Amino acid sequence: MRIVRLILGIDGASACWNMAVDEALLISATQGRGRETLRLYVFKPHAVTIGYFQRIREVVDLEKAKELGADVVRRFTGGGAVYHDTYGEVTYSYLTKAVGPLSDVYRSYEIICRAIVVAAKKLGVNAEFVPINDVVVKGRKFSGSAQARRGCWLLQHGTFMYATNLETLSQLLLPQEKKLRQRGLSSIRQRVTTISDELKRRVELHEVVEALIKGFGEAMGIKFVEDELSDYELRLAKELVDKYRSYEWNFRR
Amino acid sequence: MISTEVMSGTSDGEARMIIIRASSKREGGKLVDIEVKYDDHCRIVEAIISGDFFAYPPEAVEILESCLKGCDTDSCVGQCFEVLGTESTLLGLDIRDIEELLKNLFERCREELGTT
Repeated sequence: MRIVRLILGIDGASACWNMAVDEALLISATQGRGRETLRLYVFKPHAVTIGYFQRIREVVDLEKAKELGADVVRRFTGGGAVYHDTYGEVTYSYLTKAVGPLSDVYRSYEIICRAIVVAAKKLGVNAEFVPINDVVVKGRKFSGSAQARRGCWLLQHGTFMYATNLETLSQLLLPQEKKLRQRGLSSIRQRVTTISDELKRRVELHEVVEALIKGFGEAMGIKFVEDELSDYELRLAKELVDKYRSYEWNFRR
Repeated sequence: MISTEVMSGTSDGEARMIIIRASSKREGGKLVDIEVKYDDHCRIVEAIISGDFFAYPPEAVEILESCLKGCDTDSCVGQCFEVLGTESTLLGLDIRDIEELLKNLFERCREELGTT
């Protein structure tokens, strides 16, 4: 069984820093200075991250974000806008080599998202993967993932909404009418759920972290040793963080 | 779904521009929005392809957008998509849908400008 580095950032950090660290992990690995890693982290303050190809003004209520003090940052990965609730969401990022079955982009989402399904099961919820990148309970999404690839490495990160305030989520994320219509829904709120809502009890952060570690361990056949970012990764992240703070990056589309 | 917005010519005599927006979404796929700015000969000045899709590498979409600048024929658009198809993987959208949509928008542009 492979031993994989585990990095915990559950005390919370800004969206800019979290994105910079994830990109630093991937770049560092591509340069031969990284290794297989699972990172679990929290956004503090609350944040919205948007997909690489999204137009910020079309997917986020920027006035509301300002009013609520939420960060808004563009990711280096594709996919949709995500609300990261400090007190109700854990984000994972998993860095690994894109080899064997993981070399296929489409399939790799399913393989890695299996860890989310197993983690939900550990918490007592039957979840299922829905292509391309969602994990749902009874048709409602509580986890979405996005992936970047460079060289022979991939980094997939994604949400795990265990007690997200879904009212705030639906205030911050602007509805994509066409998507909702196709699904027969009238609001974002109808499309999402949390683990706490499903279990009808407040699920705590430590339970989720434990479940995710077990989920990744089982699904990927790995064991973890807790560690920290290397000096090189930290330096890279410090260089990258300004990009994520910049108007040019966040409003590029 | 297609919407258009015609921008008037500027006071210093610049030619008028037209912006056409369109979106595409297949069942089970991602939402793709296209915004194309044309000059008064329906030549593409700028094309922006946005949405919650995935592209590997992501730069492929920017290369496509750059390639589309200056196109005023279906064949020019087709050549840009050929470049995209060979070097990239896209998830959540059918690239042929986008190509067809862009080609159809030329017709829409000409209708708007009364040049058909």
